[in-house]
Amino acid sequence: MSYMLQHLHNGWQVDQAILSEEDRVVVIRFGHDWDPTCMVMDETLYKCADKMKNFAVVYLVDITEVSDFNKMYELYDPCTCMFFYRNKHIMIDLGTGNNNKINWSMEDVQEFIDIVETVYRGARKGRGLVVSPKDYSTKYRY
Amino acid sequence: MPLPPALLARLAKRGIVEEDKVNKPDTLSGSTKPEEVEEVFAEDYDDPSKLEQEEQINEEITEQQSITPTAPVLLAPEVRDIVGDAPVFYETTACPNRSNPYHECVPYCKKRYGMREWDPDDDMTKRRDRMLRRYPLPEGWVEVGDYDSGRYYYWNVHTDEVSWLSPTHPKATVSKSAESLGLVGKIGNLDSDGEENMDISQDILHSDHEAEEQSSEDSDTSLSDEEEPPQQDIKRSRNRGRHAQSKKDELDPMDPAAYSDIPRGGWSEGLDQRGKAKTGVDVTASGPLFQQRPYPSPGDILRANQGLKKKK
Repeated sequence: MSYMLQHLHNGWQVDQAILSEEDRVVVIRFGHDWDPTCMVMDETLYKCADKMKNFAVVYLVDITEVSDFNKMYELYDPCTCMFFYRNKHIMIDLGTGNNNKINWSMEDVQEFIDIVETVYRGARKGRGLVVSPKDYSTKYRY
Repeated sequence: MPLPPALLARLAKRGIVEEDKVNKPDTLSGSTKPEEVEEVFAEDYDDPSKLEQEEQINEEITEQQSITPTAPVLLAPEVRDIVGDAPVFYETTACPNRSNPYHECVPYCKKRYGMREWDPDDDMTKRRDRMLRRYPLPEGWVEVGDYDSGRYYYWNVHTDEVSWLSPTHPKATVSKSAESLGLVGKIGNLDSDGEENMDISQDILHSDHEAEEQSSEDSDTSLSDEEEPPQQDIKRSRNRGRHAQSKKDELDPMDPAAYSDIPRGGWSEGLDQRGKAKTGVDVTASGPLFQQRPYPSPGDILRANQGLKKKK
């Protein structure tokens, strides 16, 4: 479903997309459209994009096409989801140890919307780190 | 039970046993006492037949004593101009720091410790002559006196190699000099007035011979030419040199460059440099803050990248 979502094709576009959002969370998926993990994530993103259009906007970035952030953002997972609010990176405590990003694909639409909503509420209050409603550490997965 | 000759010699030196007792074993060969002392130190204790060989050699030498041969040195005329026919000598200080590879002798060393004197052993000279008769020096080889060991060694003026034995000798080990391998200290300019206008070739000679002299310092002084130790000594020093050199070039097996395709790093590799942070996160955050380091915004990253490009 990646073709239904807005792509950003260079670093400047990514920067402007984040800068231009005044009061919405910017969700950026870094990865490749052809990647199976990303395909799953894009499906979820497409499904929830319309539902959270009042407080979040979703963009897709191809990390091969736009390699500016690969080093700084440590983008070496097939699919990485990051949240920005007012040109600021918002961290989420997912219980995975990596608070910077979601580096797996989520299938549950509602779960993802909950996370984005938490990010939005926290970021509005000026928080740089929010706690995810659900713990994604492996102890609950297995 | 007879004491081993080495022990006898030592005890005699200290006055514990009588001198005539020490001299008794070599009445057969007719060699003098100090010779015997040196001989024993050079002895290969693993080989019991060595002593007998030694005596035979001594006998041979006494037979050939009447002939006084000169070393047949074949040299190119231009080399002969510099070196001359006689063995070459290069003055060495008696400085105890000569074995220190980082030490360079200065005029003070000369003043304080004086210069070494050349007093070759008669026995050694005899053997040297015999060896040279049997195995004459090839073209380009020069005989050089080593002050430290009181022996002669042979130096190739063209290839700058040295050997304790005549290079035609079957057991000769030709190698680079110890100084060129960086194993021993150098002799600086001992005359404070300076002999800067010395011939360049002379300079080269100088350094090489000093080196060789040094390398032999720990070797025994009057070794028979048929014996192993001088060669072993050179071999050892050469191996040491090779080891020291290769150690620098050798890749540490634990170095990631040894087992992966990343380039070999310098000493500052992996250190955090300004604008070159591995990630955009705050590097000063530690402890509980470590997981709470936000990434910089995309705009900051783009500006940082731009700055890096400009620097390059």
